[in-house]
Parts: sequence; C-alpha cells; structure tokens
Amino acid sequence: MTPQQPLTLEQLTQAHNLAVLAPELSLTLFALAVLLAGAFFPDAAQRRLLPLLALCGVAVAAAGTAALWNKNQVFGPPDSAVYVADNFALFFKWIFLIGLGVAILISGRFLDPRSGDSHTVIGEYYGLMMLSTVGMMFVSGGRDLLVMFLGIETLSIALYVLAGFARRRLMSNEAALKYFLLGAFASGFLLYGIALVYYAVGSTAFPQIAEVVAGGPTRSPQISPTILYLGLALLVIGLSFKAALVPFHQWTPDVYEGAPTPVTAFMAVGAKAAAFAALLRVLPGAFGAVSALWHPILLAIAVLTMSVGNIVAITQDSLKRMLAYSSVAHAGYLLMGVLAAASANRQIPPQSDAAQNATAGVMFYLVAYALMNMGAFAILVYLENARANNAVASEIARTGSDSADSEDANIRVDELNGLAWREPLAAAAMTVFLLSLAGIPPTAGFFGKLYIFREAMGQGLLGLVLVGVLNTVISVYYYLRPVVAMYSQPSGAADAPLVSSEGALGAAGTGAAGALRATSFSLSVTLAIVLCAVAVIAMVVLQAVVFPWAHEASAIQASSQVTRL
Amino acid sequence: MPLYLIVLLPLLGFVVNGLFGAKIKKPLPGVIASLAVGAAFVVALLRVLGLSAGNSATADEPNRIVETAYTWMNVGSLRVDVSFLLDPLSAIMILVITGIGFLIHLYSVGYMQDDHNDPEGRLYARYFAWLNLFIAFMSVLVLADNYLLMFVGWEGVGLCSYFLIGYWFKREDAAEASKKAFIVNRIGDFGFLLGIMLLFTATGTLRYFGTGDSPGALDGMAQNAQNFNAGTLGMMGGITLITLLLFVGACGKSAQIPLYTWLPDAMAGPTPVSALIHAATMVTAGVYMCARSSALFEAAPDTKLIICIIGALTALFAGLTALAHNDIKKVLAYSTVSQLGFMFMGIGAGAYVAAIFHVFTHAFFKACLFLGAGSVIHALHGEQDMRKMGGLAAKMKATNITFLLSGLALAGAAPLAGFFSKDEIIAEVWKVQAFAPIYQIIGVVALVTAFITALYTGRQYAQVFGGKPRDEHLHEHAHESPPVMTIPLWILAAGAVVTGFFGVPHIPGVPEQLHAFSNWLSPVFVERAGEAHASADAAVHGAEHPVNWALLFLGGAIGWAGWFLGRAMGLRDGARAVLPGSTSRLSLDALYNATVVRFGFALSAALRWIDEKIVDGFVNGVGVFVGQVSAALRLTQTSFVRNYALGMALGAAIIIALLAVR
Amino acid sequence: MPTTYYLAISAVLFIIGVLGVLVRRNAIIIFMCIEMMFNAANLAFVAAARDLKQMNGQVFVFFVMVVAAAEVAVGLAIIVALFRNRESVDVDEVNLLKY
Repeated sequence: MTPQQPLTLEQLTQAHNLAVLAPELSLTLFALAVLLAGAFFPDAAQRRLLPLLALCGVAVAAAGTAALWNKNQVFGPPDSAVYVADNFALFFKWIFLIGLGVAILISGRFLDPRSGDSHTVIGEYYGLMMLSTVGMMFVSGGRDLLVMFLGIETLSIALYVLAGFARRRLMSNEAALKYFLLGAFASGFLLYGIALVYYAVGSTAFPQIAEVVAGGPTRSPQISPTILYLGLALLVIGLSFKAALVPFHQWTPDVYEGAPTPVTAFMAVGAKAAAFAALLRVLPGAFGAVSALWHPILLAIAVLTMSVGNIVAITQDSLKRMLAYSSVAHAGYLLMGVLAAASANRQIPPQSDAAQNATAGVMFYLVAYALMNMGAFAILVYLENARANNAVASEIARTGSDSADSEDANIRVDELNGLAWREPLAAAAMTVFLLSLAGIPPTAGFFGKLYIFREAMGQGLLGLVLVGVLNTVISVYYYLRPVVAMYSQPSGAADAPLVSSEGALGAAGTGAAGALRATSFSLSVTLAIVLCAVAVIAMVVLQAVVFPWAHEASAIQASSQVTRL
Repeated sequence: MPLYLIVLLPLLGFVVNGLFGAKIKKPLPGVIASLAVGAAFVVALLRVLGLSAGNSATADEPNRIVETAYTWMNVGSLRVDVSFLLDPLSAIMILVITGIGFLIHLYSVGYMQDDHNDPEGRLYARYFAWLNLFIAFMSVLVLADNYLLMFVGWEGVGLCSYFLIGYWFKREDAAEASKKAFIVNRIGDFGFLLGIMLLFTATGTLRYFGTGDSPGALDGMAQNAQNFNAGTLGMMGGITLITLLLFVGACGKSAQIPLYTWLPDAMAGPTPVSALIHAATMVTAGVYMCARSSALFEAAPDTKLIICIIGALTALFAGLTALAHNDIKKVLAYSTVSQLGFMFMGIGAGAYVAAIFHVFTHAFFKACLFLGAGSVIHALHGEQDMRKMGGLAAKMKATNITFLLSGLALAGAAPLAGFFSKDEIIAEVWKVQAFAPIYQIIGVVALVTAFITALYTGRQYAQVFGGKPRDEHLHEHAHESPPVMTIPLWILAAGAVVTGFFGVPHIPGVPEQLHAFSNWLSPVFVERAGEAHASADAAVHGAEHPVNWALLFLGGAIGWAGWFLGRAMGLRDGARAVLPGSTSRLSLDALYNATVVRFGFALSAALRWIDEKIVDGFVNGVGVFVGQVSAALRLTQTSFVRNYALGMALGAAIIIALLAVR
Repeated sequence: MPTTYYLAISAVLFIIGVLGVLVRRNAIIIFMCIEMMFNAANLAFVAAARDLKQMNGQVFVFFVMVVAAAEVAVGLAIIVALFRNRESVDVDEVNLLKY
C-alpha cells in the first residue's frame, strides 16, 4: 500500500462532488428547518405545518435520488472514494424514503397532546426521524467501514430517542433503555471489529479490503489471519444486531412493542433495510473472498432466525409484538438472499449473473417488505387511534372533560373480531398486507420469496430453502389469525369494539373538539394505508417494471466489486 | 373472442358484487354472478368449438392455441407471461368449470335465498362474489400456459375455498375448518412450489410448451432427462424428486393420504360450495396438474408407482370410512376423496385419458349428488343426519330421481357414466407392465373399492329416500325445492347418465363415435412408457379382449350388486337407528349382520377412529407441538436487559469460536 | 514495542467492558462499560495507525469520540427519563415488556 498523497484544497473541491450528497443534504436541511420551525411556531400551527414540511423534505430527497439514478457518481477521487451514489445506494434510499414518508403520515395522533405526553416536542420528533433517515442513507452509500459505522450510529442514536419519545410511558422508557444499552453494546462489537480489520488490512475501504483479503488474507504475512477473522466475526455480530438476526434479536420484540407505533414501523423498515444494505456490501462484497468461512455460520443464523421468529410469533396475542417477531423472521428470509449471492460469487468461475439476481431478490423483497409492513403498522395506528377516540368520547360523555388517558396496552389479535363488518376497507387492506407478509401468491410478498428461494435453490442451498418453505407454512398460521378474527363476528359485548359501527372517521362524533382533530389525522393515516395497499398490489401487476429496476440497481453493486478484484 | 374473457367475466362479477353487492336487493347479486359465469361458459364453448373445428392434431403439430395477454415479468432467464393455453385437455376442464359452475351458481340463487345462518342476508352478495372469484382463479389454473401462472390460480382457488368454507363464520366448526383447509393446503402447495422451482432449475423455463426454437418444460423430455439427472439435482433424485414434489402439491389440493383431512371438514361450508369446489372442480386440480405434466411423470416410473399406491390406499380407506358416517355430506365428502383416489390410480397407471375421463364424469354425478343432498338439507331445514331422514322419495320427486341416477352412476352401475370411467381406470391399472405384480394387487384393491363405493352409495340412497320416514316432524315439513334448484339437478343427472358413452372401452364392435373422449384427448398425452398404442390399436392385441370383457361384466355386476346390498343395509340400518336393539326378521338381514355388517362395520368404524384420532390427530398434533415449542421459546424473552446482553455475548462467543479460533 | 502489545491491552479493555455489561445492574455503569469497549477500539485504531504509518486511524478516533459523546448525551437523557418515572436506574427492574 502506498501512503496517500495529500491533496491540495483545489483538488479537494474539484474531486468532492457535493451533488452526490443531494438526497442527504436536502433531507438534513429540511430536518433543520423542521427543528427551527418547531421552535418558533405555536403548537397548533406546528401540528399542521411540520408534517407538511417533512413530507416536502421527503419529496425533495426523492427527487434528488431520482436525478442521480444511473449517474453512478462518487464523492471524492474515483479510486479512493468512500462515498458513492451508485444505483444500489439510490435504490435503498428510496426504500428509506418510503419508510420515512409513511411514518410521517401515521404519526399524527401520537403527537397529539392528549396522547399522554402533553409536552411532546413535535419538531424534534420529525427532525430526528429525518436525521435517522440520513444515517440510513449514509449506510447504503458508504464504501468504507467507517462511513458505514457513522451512518449506523446516526440512525441508531436518533432511533434511541424516538423509541423513548413518549417520555411519560413506562413501556416507551423501557424500550428506549433496552434499545440504547443493547444497541451501544452491539456498536462496541462493530467498532472493535472495524479496528481489527483496519489493522489486519490496512484500510477500511471496501475495495481495498476485498483486494487484500483475496490476496493475503492480511496485508503482510506477519499479521495473523486470525486477527482479520476476529474482526470479521465482530463485524458480523454488530450487523446482525442491527438486522435483528437470532441470537442478536432479543431486543426486537421488546423495543418494537414499547416504542410508539409509528416509530416501530419506521424502525422495522428503515433500520432493517439499512442493516441489509450494509450486510450486502460487507459480506458478499468486501469479504467475498473468504465466504467459505462465514457462509456456514450465517447459514445457521438464517435457519435460526427464520425458525425462532416464526415459531415464537405463533403464540403472541399482541398484534404489535406479533409483527415484531414477524420482522425477525423476515430478516431470515432476506439473509437467505445474501447467502445465495455469496454462494454465486464463490462458484468457479463466479456466477455474477446469479449473484446479481440474488441481490436484486433481496432488494425487491425489501421494497415489498417495506410496503406491506408499513401498511400493517398503519392499520395498527388506525386501530389505536380509533380506540383512543372511543376512550376520549366515552370519557367526555362520562365526566364532561377530555382528559382521558387513552394510552394503554397494545391491540390484541382478538380485539380485531368483526372488524370486517365495521370497517370493510381497513379489513380488506389488512388482509392484503397479512397475506403478502405470509407470502401467499399472487401477492408482492410471494414474489419476493420466490425470487430469493429460486436463487438459493439455484445455488444448491436446498436445505435452507426447505427450512424457509416450512417456516412459510408456519407463518401462515399466525398471519391468518388476525384475518380470521376480522372476518368473524364480535363474540359478545365483553369485547369493546375498537371501532364503533359508524367507523373511526365518524366515531366520537358527539360534538367534541377531539372528533375534529381525530378526523384530520385519520385522513393522513387512511392515505398511508391506501398508498401502501395500492403499492403492494401494483408491485404484483408491475413485476416487469419493479424487478428489473432492482436488478439494475444490483448490477452496479456487483460490477463495482468485480472491477476492483 | 380472446381467451382471457373467460377469466375476466367472472372477475368482473366479483368486482361488481364485491363493491356494490351490499346495496343490491337479494336475488340480484346471484343473477349477476350467474350471468357472468354463463357468459364465460358461452365464450369457452365457442372457443372449444373453434378448436375442435381445426382438429387435425398430429404429433408434430399439436392442436393448441396460446394467447398472451400480458408480459408479467421478464428478468434475465425468467420470463413469465400471463398467457392462456387452449388444448383438448384444458378445453374439457374449462367446459366443466364454467358449465357446471354456471349450473351451481343458478342452484345457489335458490339455495341461498333463505339462509337460516344469515337471516338478514348481509352475506348474500359476498357469497356470490367469492364464488365468481373462484371461477376466475380456477379458469386461470386450467388455462395457464406455464407453471407459475397455474400456481397463482392454484393458490387463488385455495383462498376462495378458504373464504367459502368459512362463509358461515359464526359457526365455530366453519371457522376452524376453513383455517385447517388453508393451512393443510399450504403444505402441499409448498411442495408444489419447490417442484416448480426445481423444474425451472433443470429446464430453464416454466412454460409447458415452447414456441419456435425455445423448448418448454414438457417438450423434448428425451434431452431434458439428462439435465434432470445431472449434477446436484441428479444426486437428489432428479426427475423422480421433481415429480414427487409436484405430487405432494396434488396431494394437498386433491385430498390424498396424508393430506386429505381437510376435505371432510370442509363440508362446513354451504352445500353448493361443496358441490362446486370440493367435488367437481378445485379438488380435481391435482389430477389435472399431473395429467398436464404427463411428460414428466412418464419419465419417472417410480413416482407413478407411488402415486398409484397412494391413490389405491386413499380410495379404499376413504371408501370404508364413508360407510361409517351418518352425515349426508360427510359420506359424500369421503366418497369424493375415494373417487379422487381412483383418479390418481389412473395417473399412476399412466392412463391419463381415463383419469381425466373420470374427472369429467365425476364432476357431473358428484355435483348432482351434492346438490341433491343440498336440496334435502334445504327441505329439512338444515338437518344433515341421515338417521333422521328416510321416506323422502314421495315428497321430493325430482330430487329423488336425480339422486338415484347420479347415485347409480357413482356406484358404477352399468351403463351409467361412473361405470365406464371407473372401469376404464381399473382396466388400465391391470394393463401396466412395469411392476406388474404390484399393479395387479392395486387392481384388485380397486375392484374391492368399487364394490364398497356401490355399498355406501346404495346405503345412503336408501337411508335418505327409501323406507319410512323416521322423524315425522322433519318429514312433515319437507318440500320439493324450487325449479331454480331442480333444473340444475336434472341437467347434471342427464350428464351422469349420458357422459359415459363418450368413453366406451375399446372393444371390437363399438362404433368409433363412442370413443370420442379418448380420440379427443389422447393426442395431448405422451405414450405410456414401453407400450405402443395399447389402447388405440386394441384390435392388434386380441388377447386383451377376454380380460376387458370380464372386467366390464365384473364391474357392472359389482356396481349393481353393491348397490342393492347397500340399499338393504341402509333400510335396515335406518330402521335400527330409530329402534335400537330391534332385531330384524329378514333372513337376508341376519346374514348381513353375521358377516358383512359385523366385520365390515367394525373395520370401517376402526378406520373412522384412525381417521379422526390418528391421522387428524397427527396433523393437529404437529400444530400443537409447534405451539408448545413456541410457548417454551417465548419464555427466553425474559425482559431482563442483562439476559439479552448475555445471549448476545454467548452468540458472539460461538461465532468468534467458529470463525477465528481454528 | 510491537503493535501486538497495544492490541493485547485493547483486547483486555474490550473484554473487561463486555464483562462489565454482563454483570453490572446499574444502567449508568453498564453504559460506562460500553464506553470502555469503544475506547478499546480507539486504542486499537491508534496502534494500527502507528503500525501503518497512516493518519487515517488517528482521525477515526476523533469520529468515534464524537459518536461516543452523542451516545452519552442521548443515553444519559434516556436514563434520566427512566429515573424520573421509576426513581431507579437498576436495569433488572425494567421488565414490563416480555415474552
């Protein structure tokens, strides 16, 4: 390795093309604007203005991402650029923006003063969510372990705060504390792994790591490969935590359950996608040459993740906790795609075509997962809103004041009983999301699984596919429970209906001021649900558009490694 | 008229009824749905007539039409079109689906008119919406020109079946049965999906037949066979593995051992649904799929033997179980399982024409039996216990005659439809040359099962319609169903009488027109391995005639004998049910009691016990087991941060040990 | 001194940090142990940078310090919020969410 030549200031400004950072920069600027606006406007105005401003940020960032598509620009001199805007990164940025956009839409009631947190700071809520998204973007675009680490920390630290945003609620406190302590613990592993890899390889940039590992595996014979492998192991551990893979998943159910539901939705989609962007870049990418070492380990992790996630989800009664376990299980399916990509790269000669297909499968699955999961959580928010409204209405009827503490335990599956009668469209949308999560054809989730299973099968990972298939069978059971509940009659008066017979939109219509406000954020939640449902269905019909798009995005990722090797 | 209209019309009915059904007054949603399916039938009929007009099929130029509606996905090696295939096989299936589907829609208009489970009629439109969606997906299943599209239809009909079984969701059994049907079917479906993916790995395509220079998955099996047996796939069993996986899928959908348990439970749905989905169409999808893949199955003789054995076991087992049931629909359900077993015997023997012929005739007489049973249940205000029926012949003339005709057809009484199709399968099983001894044993089993079939059918008829009324109150109020229900019964009964004559066995002296079915269908299938034109050139193989004639007479005799024996049983049985302990004075009865009844009923009661406790218990037990594992595993989620950190540290230690310490 | 010595010390620090996280019950002390893990990594970075004669590794340390500072700010805020609700920072008492 030759020591890098110092650059002059002029060279620096020429080489460092700020346009590459357009999505990140615009989102950061809007986040700051949201924070500032939160400081200057009165509460009522904030509630209307800030989500709009945040959504504008999403739109501008999405436009910036679109403008960079296929440009394949890098930040810095092409050889040593640590930050790139290849299609791979841009595709992931869209996934993050989907998550952010829907999360903003469904956050309305949570920020309502009567949700138990009268001093909730709206500006900080949206600002943190946007900054967390910036962190995710840095993970997807980073071609360097350190950039990846900084991205992960940016997204995580913001999420620690968001998980505990309902400061008065013990469950939210608990979620934040657990997420924070365990997350920082995992970051420690990750960081130490980076340090060891840096020592063994002499660089933290992925292309250099790939080069040295393929040749060495360390930079000089004096340095034992053990140090590199130790570093790799620690990296795997740290990333596994972020992706919630077994046995590093235990925080997931607790944190997902305790965090405010919109935050859970955002976390389940964005953080997971970011973790897989990192896994795809690090494992089949930088450490592809030693995949024989880590492949069996991750194979075992994938089997465990799918099985534990699905099996434990069966006995969950809280819908939110069930979705948390389901998200663990989905990480297992996704990991299967990563493994297929690595296997394909390992063949002699490397089947870069198959590797690309597998990567594209993971990315397609992530889009489907983002949409159906956000949709399911949006329904959950919708139901929680309805319940809170009913509670408020009954409180007003009883005492004439609207000081109801509507924040209580999570929605149970059997509370969905008869939803199809009161809210046929919400029930239909939830059915679409759940069937898609279960992977029943011809839903988006099915095609995601099909693409991943097919590539895994093509690489001879038949055992893994069998486990995946069996797990899918198991998962049908718990995804079907809410569907069965929704389409059956409420079992007597003991179950207070979540949604009154007039529906949530007209619920609590006894003239309370709360009803009006409920309507205004019910609208945005409804919008989110409709958007997700339409997108999930459109993904099925437009296979010929969406998959090639993911395929194109994964092509850049694969070829950038090949040229470096 | 494009083929996709056949799918689109019922889909349109589904959309209309799904969106506006709740606002339309009662009979109208049913009329809309019936019209949609009727129109689809007309389109299908016109297209099939067009197909048969151009019928000049040769091996080089098969008689088939492929129409691409939409390119669904096109990614590298994977290209899937939404395109539809019309050939003699799918022509027969689509005519059965839309034709019998139309009749059952019509019947449903009357049947669901006053639904005592849903007095307000809030569900009425939903019923027809699902029924229409079912027809649409079923049409996709049979018209698809590739396995993935077929799978979409396959899952779609499963979903509709789930919603229709659970249609009366207020009833606990209906909700449970629908869930069970759905989950048991998933097991089969994923076997099927694995099979499809392996097939794709081996052949690089999912289309059945290629166009131009790109061969399909079922073309050129001679070359493909090498692909199948090369590399990893070859080590895992190659084509045998693929066909077995496909058969696992068929097992789930077509209710074969061990995945049949959902079908008897599925009777919790409305009776027309049982007739359409669980007798005439959906459950035969597995048979259709195997017949469609005949090129694959012919290359895998081991799989065929397994299929034949499982089919025979299922047929025998379910037939015996049917004898022990007293619920009018349960008997028919087990009978369906048993008849599906016969169809798979045909598949396993490589007699695809015979199997599809049985699908065809069975669709008529079993749909008629179910609808007749529905008419009876309708007349008796929901009573399904045959021990409370009896003497209905005088009260319900149309139902009685149609039930009798289709019952005789099911029993295999010559010369009704079931006689010809069942006999054809048994004859074909006898003729198989590979593994001949095993196939001959299966042939004997098939004959025995045919006898049992006649027994329980005769018993059922006698219990329901014969003898004296056993529950006067029920009998008082019984009434014939309205014409909208009896007209479909008459049409189906006519089918049960005449369809057999399309497939008279190939014996000298029979005019060519009476082989219409096999002449129409046989070009679709590859020749049975090691056998050149065995059935077509029967004249050359003179030695077969005695066997054929013998079987024919044996089959006819078995049918009639079983029927009358069963009828006597039913009359006696019914009498005993009301007056327990009374001994019959008929000497014939005493003979039955001493031999057939005592032993036979003991056996079938034992089988019923095995069915309910062991097989069902196993299927349920797996669920319970997974549930217990789940309950145990969730306890690891202790809520203590330090435990989670410890879990992470242990996981980390293991990963470090595996990766770095070596 | 060879670089491996520094690495050995950093490994010891790291392991002490991990064990501290596992055995302590006070949230603040657990957090301090995590900081120790971070500092172990910092030491490894500096040692590696010296071995490689690069500045990169030393710059990394600054980044890590910034991250650690941010985590301190957030972490202490979370712990304070918890303390205000529960009047305790014992992590074993935080056990509402389970199974």
